[in-house]
Amino acid sequence: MFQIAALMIMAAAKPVAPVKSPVFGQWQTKEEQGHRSVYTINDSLSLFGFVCAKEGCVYVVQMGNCVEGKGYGLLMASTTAGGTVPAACLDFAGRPTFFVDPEAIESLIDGSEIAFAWPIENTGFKVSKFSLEGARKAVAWVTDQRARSGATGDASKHNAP
Amino acid sequence: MFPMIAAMAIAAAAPSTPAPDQASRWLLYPDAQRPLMAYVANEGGDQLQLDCTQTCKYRLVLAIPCIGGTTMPGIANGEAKDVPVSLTCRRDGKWMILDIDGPDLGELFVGDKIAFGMTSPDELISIKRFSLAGAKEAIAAVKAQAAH
Repeated sequence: MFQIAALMIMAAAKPVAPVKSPVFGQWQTKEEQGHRSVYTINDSLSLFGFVCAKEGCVYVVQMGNCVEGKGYGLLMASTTAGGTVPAACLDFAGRPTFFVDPEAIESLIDGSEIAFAWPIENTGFKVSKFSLEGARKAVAWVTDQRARSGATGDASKHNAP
Repeated sequence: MFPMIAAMAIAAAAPSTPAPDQASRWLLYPDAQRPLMAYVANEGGDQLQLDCTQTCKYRLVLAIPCIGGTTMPGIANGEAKDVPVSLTCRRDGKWMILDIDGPDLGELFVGDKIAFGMTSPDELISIKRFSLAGAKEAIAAVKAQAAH
């Protein structure tokens, strides 16, 4: 289900003029044809977001250049918890993007900050940190918007606390 | 009894930083004649060890605190491949001693370096990198002694 939702969202990622863009802390919102998203961008211009389409919702992370079509193990940690999670690298809005199952991140976004790392060549790691200020409300907003549009599925788990 | 004493001695001795001319190269403890442990230190004083005092076990000794018994996820990244690992804190205190569980780390000992990414209470994610200079010989010596 997660893979299908990720592929459908990827296919739907065609930017159009935004309709309405509320802001939650450090998190922006964007409403585009086929999907709605909330996201934050750090000082390194890496992006962490939550994207919902009719088919479902996924977390996305844009940092570095992962190889599209390849699977990775992402190390992630917030001020509340940490873990490793499988992530698929797919094209999203023209950039290689990690797609992560919402359930894997759900318990982490209540902290103040989250970090991701993935192993790269020559024993290196690409590490990116993101603010979680407003993340919970932003995720609730996009989930609510999706529910209002009549879609059901994975995103129903992301209700406001 | 001896292995326990040796293990305690190793644990007590391990965090000491090698002399500058010995840093970044794998060493044997207590000596080359009867090595019980192979280890290497990095510039920050962290250590990667293969301890064969009892059963052979890879572990990290880091200068950051952890809570005894807790387990944290990590990724070991060698020049040929990377694998997920589980790091278990063995004791509280100034030094974090982490037993490394996961696929055979031997496959990662190829090339010049190995790195570990792990969750960290203060930095969220911490990266520790170690030299593999002399690793093959040191590890073989310790394993040979353990099998003896």
